[in-house]
Amino acid sequence: MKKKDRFSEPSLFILISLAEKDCHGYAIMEDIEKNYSIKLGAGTLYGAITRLEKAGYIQVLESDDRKKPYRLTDAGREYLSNQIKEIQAITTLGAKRLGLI
Amino acid sequence: MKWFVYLYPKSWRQRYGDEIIDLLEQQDWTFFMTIDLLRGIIDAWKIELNEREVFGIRMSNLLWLVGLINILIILQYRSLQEVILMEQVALIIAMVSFFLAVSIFIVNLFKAGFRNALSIKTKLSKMAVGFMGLYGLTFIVFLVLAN
Repeated sequence: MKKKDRFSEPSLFILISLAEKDCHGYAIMEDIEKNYSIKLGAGTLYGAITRLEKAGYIQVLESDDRKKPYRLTDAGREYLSNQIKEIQAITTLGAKRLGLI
Repeated sequence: MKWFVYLYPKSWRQRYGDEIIDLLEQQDWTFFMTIDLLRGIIDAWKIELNEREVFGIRMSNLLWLVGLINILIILQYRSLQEVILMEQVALIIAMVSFFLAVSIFIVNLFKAGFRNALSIKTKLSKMAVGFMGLYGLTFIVFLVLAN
């Protein structure tokens, strides 16, 4: 069986941030803090960005500024959609078994 | 905090260095940030060493091999019951220094090239020589204590 690409939680949060608009590192960090109340450190954030960029799921946009904005690629959008569907299936099953739905 | 960025691999620093410095400048220093950065540095080196190859063998695997050889040497000396605590401490420092010297030399070999790695022009060569010196000193201490 082919091993699926698995990314950590911060990577998913970054992809979700970029799904709405192009953002630079600090804006991604603020978005994650605002929406999930999780404060990502610079080391964790850029570790995840490195992996996502190497996987081709995000790309850096040219900028003269030190802050470089990132954009979600088509492959990234597809990957994120699949991940969301997978999480949705798991939460639906969990909710059903708990009698919540 | 900025100097932490210099602990990242050179290629990583060239790509993300400015961005991370910019981000660090916008935040107040916390203990959590330091720990997180140190984790990030280890992670970046892990990625770097996993991507580099020496004669078709991954650098990370080579470092594991060097580490394993060092552990075997330490275990061999540990089995001698007459070795007292100070000797063991000296030996462990010696072996760790040797491991670091060899690891840094290998990393430098691929970063700076064969000729530069054999000179002491780069920071990494100086560090490797320093650790080798520490290895020599602590190993002599070990031998003196053991006798």
